[in-house]
Amino acid sequence: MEERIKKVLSAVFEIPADSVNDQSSPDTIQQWDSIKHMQMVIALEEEFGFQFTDEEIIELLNYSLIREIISSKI
Amino acid sequence: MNKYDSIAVGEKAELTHVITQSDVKHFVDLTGDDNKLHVDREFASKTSFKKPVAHGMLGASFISTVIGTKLPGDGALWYSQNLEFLLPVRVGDTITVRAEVIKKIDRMQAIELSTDIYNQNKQKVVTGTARVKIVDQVEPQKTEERKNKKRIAVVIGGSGGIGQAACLRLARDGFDIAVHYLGNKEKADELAGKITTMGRRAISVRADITDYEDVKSMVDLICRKLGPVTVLVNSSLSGLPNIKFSDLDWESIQHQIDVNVKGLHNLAKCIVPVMEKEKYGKVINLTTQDIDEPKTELIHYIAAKSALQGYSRALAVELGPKGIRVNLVSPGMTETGLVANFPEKVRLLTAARAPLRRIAQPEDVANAVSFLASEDSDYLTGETIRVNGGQVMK
Repeated sequence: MEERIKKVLSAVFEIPADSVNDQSSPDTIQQWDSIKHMQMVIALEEEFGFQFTDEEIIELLNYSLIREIISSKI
Repeated sequence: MNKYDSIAVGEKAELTHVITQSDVKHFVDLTGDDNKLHVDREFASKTSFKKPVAHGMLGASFISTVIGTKLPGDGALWYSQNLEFLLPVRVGDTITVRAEVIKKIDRMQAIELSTDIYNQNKQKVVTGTARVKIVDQVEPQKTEERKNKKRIAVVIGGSGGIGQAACLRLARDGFDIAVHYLGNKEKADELAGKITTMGRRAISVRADITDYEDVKSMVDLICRKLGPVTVLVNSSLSGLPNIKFSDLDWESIQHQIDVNVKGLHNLAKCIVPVMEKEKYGKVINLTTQDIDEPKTELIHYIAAKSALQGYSRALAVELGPKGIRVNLVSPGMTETGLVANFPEKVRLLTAARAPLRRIAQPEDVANAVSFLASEDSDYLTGETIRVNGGQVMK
């Protein structure tokens, strides 16, 4: 699961997958703005085949939370 | 030693000054006293003085210089002076102003000085006495005396996560510590042992803080074994179940109020008299960020902590004049056993939403406790230090 998330973030933010870690967030990835955030949400939904709730979309604040929220849904 | 105490009868000071025409002109400009005897050569020549005479108060004004800059110097409040002008002083004369302490008036923290002025021929031209009150700067009570005293702290809930960090930090700051526990004797003993290896004295003490007699016995024991307590850290905590309003009964609220408010009341009743004798004390109560930003299902806890805050601030007003400060530390979510059972998502979200991007460590909270326990915070009371990484700013 983690590899799949990293692959999505790598593609959306155009960064190497191996540079994505627990600290990855808008604080550390310059390209992670509100538009890219929505692109990431759609890409993750396509990758995992489910939809995030509105609340979850707001809570996808960093890699650790993305992993936590996705693991609770699959 | 304050300035008054450092001054002795017989102490002397003097200054010498040559009276110039410019001095006379400045004195006229300042006071408007252009009496022809002082400024009109022709007028003066027709008097018994034959030549102009400098204003008596011009020479006497140098008494102010001696008092204000030398004896006693800064902080002098010159409130009484009598003068007798014995001989005229003229432009070109060299005057020597001499002051000597002839009496100390302890009741008023004042000194009496003889104030005499001599000319270059060693003739006394002015004589008098002055009274000067010595006003010391109001220094914070961070005195050597305080620093040299034993520093003894009791940490309520010392076996808990934050309490433990507070104990270790205060021990590192030089406090002897009474580690309070209710049920976890083993942990309190272990912590007291650890503090002892740090070179401080430490004991573990048990008390149910909701029971006055229990608290009284505990405080007596601490005072007997360690000495007078001047720092109380109240990080008491009982279980913190989430309870929906629909399921909330009064007993659950009462339990929190007992631990937080009655507990503090009992502690204050027993420890404040000790602090009063020391004329110094620090009461530090742990509250919660949830007061500022209430969370669901915690009415019982938030109501009690809010009451604790109100009690603390009211107590601060009443105890301030006695040198006892009462402050609060309000942590956000802190990495302790209490939050170990929180869902990981909640911890991650809290950290991600905090401007400093992490939840608090017990040591972060202990640092604030350390500051409030130290003399560096002696001018703070009734204050709340929020240790929450910027989650709530007030």
